[in-house]
Amino acid sequence: MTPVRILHVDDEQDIREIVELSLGLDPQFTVRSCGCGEDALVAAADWSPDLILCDVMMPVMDGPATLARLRDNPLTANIPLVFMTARLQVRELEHFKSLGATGVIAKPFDPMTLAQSVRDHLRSAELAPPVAHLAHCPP
Amino acid sequence: MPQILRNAHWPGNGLPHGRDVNYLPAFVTSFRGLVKARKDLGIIQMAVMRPPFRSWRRPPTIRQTLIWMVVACVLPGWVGMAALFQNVYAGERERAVQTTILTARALVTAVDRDLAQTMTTLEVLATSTKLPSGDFASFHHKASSLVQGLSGVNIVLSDESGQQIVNTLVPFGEPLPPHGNPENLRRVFATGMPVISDLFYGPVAKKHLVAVEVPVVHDGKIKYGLAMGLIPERLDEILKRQQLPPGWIAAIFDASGNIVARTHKPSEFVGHRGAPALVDMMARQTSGFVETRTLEGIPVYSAFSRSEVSNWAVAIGVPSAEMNGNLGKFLVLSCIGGILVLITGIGLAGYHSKRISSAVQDLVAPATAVGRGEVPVIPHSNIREIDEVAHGIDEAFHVLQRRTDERDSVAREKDAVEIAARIKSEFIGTVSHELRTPLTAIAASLRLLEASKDGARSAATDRLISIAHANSLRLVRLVNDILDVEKLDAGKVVFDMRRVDIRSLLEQAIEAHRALAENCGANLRLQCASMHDVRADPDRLMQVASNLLSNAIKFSPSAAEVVVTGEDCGDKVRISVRDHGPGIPENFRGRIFEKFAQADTSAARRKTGTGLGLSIAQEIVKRLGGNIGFEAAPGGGTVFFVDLPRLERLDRVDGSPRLLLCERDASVADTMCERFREAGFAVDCSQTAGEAVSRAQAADYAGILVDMNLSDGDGVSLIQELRELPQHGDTPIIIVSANPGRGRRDLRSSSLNILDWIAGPFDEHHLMERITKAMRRVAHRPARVLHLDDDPLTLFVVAKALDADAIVVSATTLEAARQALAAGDLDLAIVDLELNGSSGADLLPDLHDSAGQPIPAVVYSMSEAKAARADEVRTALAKSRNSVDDLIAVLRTCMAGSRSRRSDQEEAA
Repeated sequence: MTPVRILHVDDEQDIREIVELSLGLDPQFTVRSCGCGEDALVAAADWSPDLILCDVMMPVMDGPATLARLRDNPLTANIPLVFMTARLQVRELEHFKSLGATGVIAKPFDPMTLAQSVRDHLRSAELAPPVAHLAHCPP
Repeated sequence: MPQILRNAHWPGNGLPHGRDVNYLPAFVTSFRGLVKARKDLGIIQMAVMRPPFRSWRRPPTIRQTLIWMVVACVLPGWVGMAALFQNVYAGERERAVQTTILTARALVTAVDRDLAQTMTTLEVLATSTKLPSGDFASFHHKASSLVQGLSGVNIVLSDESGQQIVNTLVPFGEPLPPHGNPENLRRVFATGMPVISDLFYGPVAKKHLVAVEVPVVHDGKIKYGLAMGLIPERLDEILKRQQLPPGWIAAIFDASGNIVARTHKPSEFVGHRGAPALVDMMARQTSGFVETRTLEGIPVYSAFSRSEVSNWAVAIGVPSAEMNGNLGKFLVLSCIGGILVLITGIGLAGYHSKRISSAVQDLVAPATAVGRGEVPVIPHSNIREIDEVAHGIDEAFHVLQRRTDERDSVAREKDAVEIAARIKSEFIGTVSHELRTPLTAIAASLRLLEASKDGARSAATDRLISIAHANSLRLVRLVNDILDVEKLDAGKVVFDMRRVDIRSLLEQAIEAHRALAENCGANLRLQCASMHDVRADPDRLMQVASNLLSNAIKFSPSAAEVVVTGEDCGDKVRISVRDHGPGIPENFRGRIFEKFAQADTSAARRKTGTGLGLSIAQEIVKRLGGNIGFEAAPGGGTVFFVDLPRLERLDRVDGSPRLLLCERDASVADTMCERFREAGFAVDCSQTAGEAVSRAQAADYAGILVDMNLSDGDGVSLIQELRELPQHGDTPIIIVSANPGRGRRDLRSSSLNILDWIAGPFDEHHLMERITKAMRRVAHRPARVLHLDDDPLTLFVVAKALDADAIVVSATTLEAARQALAAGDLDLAIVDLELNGSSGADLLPDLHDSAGQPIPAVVYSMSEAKAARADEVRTALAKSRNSVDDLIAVLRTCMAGSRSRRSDQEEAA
């Protein structure tokens, strides 16, 4: 069993800790947290996580901006990203997916099933790679 | 004001720019700005709404109007004067003519008298005693002395032979010539009456003479003729005595029309005949008037009178110039008078028009000021009506001012209210968002704590943690509901209205609440009889349905049933949820949809709700154009219902199934359309792939016919595009092609779920048969679904989920699946690609019925479907516990499509 690396980005320290605890319930997951989008860009390029969990509403650089910057960098362009946001509408979900996100996890999340949700998103990312992913594939 | 606005033309009223605007008065152009700036004022808005004047003529100024009025007054005067003048002229002329004729008559009478005097003298002399005695010498002497006393020239005595016996011009005894006027002498002897001769040339006197001759009678016999010669100059005296005006020409004519005497140039004209027209007229009438020319050539009006006695006549010529001269003078004076009147009138009109127009223009400034909302300065004028208008403007300003004030105050109040509402809504939104983050942390922490097994904790602690967690979740729900209410109130929720299939929506709602129902011990059941779709936002409608369903579950007693119904109700579709709960207390019914309204029931129930759910549901249903309500159910419990406007199914027109025909050749298309219509289909026709796709996007079709050889793309890509449209994912598509081989190859390689194939050339009978068959192909009831999977649990879940809609044939191995295929009559296949020891993909090429037609397939796999295969199937899904819901939703879409066509088929049959 290879470890699965998850990068979590959220400006709230409490949420970061809870997510680390929740994902820690799955022994295969290795979690690293960042407090802002800038840190996430560096960590993603450096660490090459299997999936990034990213808060939408963050100061300075919000979730979509972070996603766009990740896609601009060939090193991070193919990493699936799942947004975490409060109670969203279907329209917003479609919008996020059109930006290249693999999916969205609603807040407040159930910490007991968060790991399973992340696994589901990982699987669907494997099956249906995001648009940006395809765009960067060699012909 | 309307008049002014009419002059001010707005852009777009048909007048060219530049030219017309340039000559508009300044106030008019400024009025445009005014109207633009203040078009919100009601009074101006009304004027703006007038239709623009297309053919625009500048109306006349006041000055022009007044001048026209003056001209209108003066011209009839002129005409009257001309008529009067004509009348006076004719009268004057007539009177002049009559006067002149009378003068002529007086003159001719004088001439007659003069000649009669001479005649009398001669008759007295003829009775002289000297003659019978033959004493001619004495007679000569006596006659000579008489001639000298008279103004005669001479006296001549002649015998009947014409020989002169005595001539006073010649001394008695000397030889004498014969009678100078033998014709006269003959007449005297013939008639025995005195005769007056015409003018003749006297041989002795050697000049023109007129002779008066009387007979000398002895013993009753005429012995001699006694004549007196008169010189015409003697008659001049008569004309001179009359003292005619200097320019007038008078003449005396003898019986033959020769001029005997004349006032002008007698020496030149005496002895000549008169002007022919005059002489001619004198011969016919005794008096008269003729316009002619004198012998000198002077144009004259000639009046004449002829004597009945002597036949001599007198004519008086009044020169035309003299006669018309007076009239001309009169005419000139009249014209000058008329023109003076006109000039005076126009001058006065100009003066007064200036007064009026300047007074009117003085009103423009105050009117403009009113428009700008400024206090108008009302000018004083010396015209009453204009003063009244000025007063009206002043009045209008005050009315406007009052209204503006009122409106402004209303607007200020409204703004204040809106600002307050916005601040409130922003506040609530911000607070809710801000609440969420800590709530997320709290709820998650408590959940983790609750789940951690720590033997050191007491049961009481576990209970407290559990209470804290439950309440944190309740707080989350409350914040979410408050945010929903706020968004709905602020109109921030955008409703994405689309066609919604009621059955699948209710199925999803029930599926989502199954866990809750199990916890509460309630049984869920769906009864969906509605044949129609509704127009709604599916997410919002789902929210409403979920709310009603969760309420019903919460209030259900243990092991009671909750029935969800979808049915047609007039022109609406009614969704209802029935529970067997305690019912709604009487005193709560009026407030049930109010915010934070909760009935006084047991505390355990109250804890789970926010009191906002029904309020939100009501608001959503209202915005969806529907109606929400409830009633007590017979046998206990409550029925909540939602009525929504129903949508007719789009794939039929007036009961006929609707087809789309994509055919390049217009004449072929016409023939085919006609045949289809005869066969009872409604047909839309498109000649290009682009048109076909846009038509297919806009409508549902029961079937689509595609020509493989379209002008803007081949049929294969068109079919692929059509298949991507949600409503045509499994619509029967029939190929109409003249080149079947190529199309068939293309289609086989991509297996597009085409339900039939027709090879050209076009055979209408054959074609109709195939279409009908293709339509029936999916019309079996219930639909048969093949499910190939090696996991018995998955097989069970799917079979249970599709229980109500289809007969599911489950297979765990390829062999079993092939047997089921061989048994035939399958509408859909669900295939797991990863079986124990074999691949479900091997089944894909075999997914054809006994007629070789492809069966739509759904692939269900742990791994990504291969690219080539992915095209081959309707949809490829990852297999995981969570996406079973997704899979079921896809299956339902397929089934709903088959079902709707099936019911249509039944109706059509």
